[in-house]
Amino acid sequence: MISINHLNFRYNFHRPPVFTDFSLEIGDGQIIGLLGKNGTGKSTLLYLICGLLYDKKHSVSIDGIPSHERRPETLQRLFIVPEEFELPPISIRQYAKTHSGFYPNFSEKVLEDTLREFELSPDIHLGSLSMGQKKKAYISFALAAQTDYLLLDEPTNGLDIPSKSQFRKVVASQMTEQRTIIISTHQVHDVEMLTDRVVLLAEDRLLLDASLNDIAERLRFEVRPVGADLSDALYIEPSIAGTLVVAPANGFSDTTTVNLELLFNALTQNPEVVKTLTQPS
Amino acid sequence: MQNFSLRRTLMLVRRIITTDPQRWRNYALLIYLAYAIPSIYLLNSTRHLQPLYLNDMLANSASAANTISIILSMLAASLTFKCMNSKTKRLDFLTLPATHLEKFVSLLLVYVILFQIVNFLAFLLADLTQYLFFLVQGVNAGFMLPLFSSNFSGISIARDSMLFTQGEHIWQITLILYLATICRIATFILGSAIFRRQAFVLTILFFFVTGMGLLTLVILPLDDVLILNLDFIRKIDAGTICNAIILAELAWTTACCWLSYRMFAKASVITSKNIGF
Repeated sequence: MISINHLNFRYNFHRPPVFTDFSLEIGDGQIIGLLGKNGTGKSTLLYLICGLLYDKKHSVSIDGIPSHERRPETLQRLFIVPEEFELPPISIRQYAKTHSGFYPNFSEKVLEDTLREFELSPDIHLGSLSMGQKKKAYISFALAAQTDYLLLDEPTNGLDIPSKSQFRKVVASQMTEQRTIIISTHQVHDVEMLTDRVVLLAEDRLLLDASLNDIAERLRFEVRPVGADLSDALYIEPSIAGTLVVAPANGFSDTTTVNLELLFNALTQNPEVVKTLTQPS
Repeated sequence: MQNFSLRRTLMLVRRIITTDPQRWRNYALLIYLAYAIPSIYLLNSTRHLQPLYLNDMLANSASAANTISIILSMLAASLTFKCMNSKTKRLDFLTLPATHLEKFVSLLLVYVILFQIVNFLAFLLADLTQYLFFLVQGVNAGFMLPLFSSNFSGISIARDSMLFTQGEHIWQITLILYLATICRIATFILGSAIFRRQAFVLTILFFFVTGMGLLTLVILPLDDVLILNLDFIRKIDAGTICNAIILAELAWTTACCWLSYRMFAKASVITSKNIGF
């Protein structure tokens, strides 16, 4: 379990705080979508979880071990694929040979299967790959490491449309009950079908932490024709197909599919949406 | 202290070397050329003075090789924390599952120990090159081990100096000379931890400026005091002075290594652009 208890963090005194009294608990067996506007601290949160950044009171821990200690037994269970990274000028096979020893659960089979899915050869030289291909190679290694916690920062940036579909497929196939995957992204449509929990950051606080099932039970996401009644709408957005609406579920027996982008816009622009989600059912 | 794993440390060493083999080959080639070219040039430019001045020629070449060795060891030490000089590199290295101590030791093993081995092998190869070069031309410059002879030259200078009686304290002086090398390396390791970029140049500048500052503010004002007490100073046992120097060198080396380690262990992925804390 990842525990963040009353975290207060800022980079320096000249900049506003990134987190103020921020608390969050992340259990096992979830895929979490970490959303937020630019500068709200998504990457910072991932770095804090990994121990790459730390606050004075060491508020972040993994299974009781403070992250800032960066103990090998914690790092072996954690892998981060950052938004920007460097790969050495060697083949994927050599990279895996050099790094796999650090991860006790590393699986050569998972690496081969994932690379095959991404249409990459293990003997291909990393230096000759495009940015998108490097990202696929790195994600393949990350999945093959079979760590309990996998942190992905903007994983679909730089991926073409077929690759995004491949990404969803490989992540879904490698998901287990013991594994937790946190995906920080602006490309919500790329991960909508994967996530089962949403954590939304706003300024220096947690705006929303809810499962998609809970959200679907409390809110409806509909496309209403132009001219339809919008009196119950908490948030609306015009579109070519009609009016995109977020409204309270109000006892509807069926649920609608959560539209993460619409939810994000609704949450950031209308505080009532947050109240609807957080009030007792 | 967390358990230290030699296996993980060696995996880290292997990782440092094998993730960019071309760079290490380039380093080895540059080191070899750094020895071979000056050696051949110096010997070739003075070969007409043989055989009368052969020993002088060899001594000059030996001094040059020794100077090159010192500079190269400082350069290598200043590369110790190259793996921390960008955000992506820091992220990559800090998240590797190993303790801070294992990572620190692996860097020392590569940039200090392994480098010295490569340095020595490159020197031997360069020495063989200059020997073959002159052999082909019918001039036998002979094999030599200038590093060792230079060290002994240093000892002979010390031995002949006014402060030391001949033959005494030879092992202390030898230790002082070797510890001086380790001190230099430790200083540049600390420089590498402090300065993210251009660590070699900035370390030299920093310690030059600090040294000049100390000289101006502390030592020069004590000049009169030292002159008045020169007889007393001369009576201090040479062995005591040697021991004091040895202790000072050990203390400085320990302080540099400890500070470097602490800075590395406390490092975060986002730091100041140019300073390592």
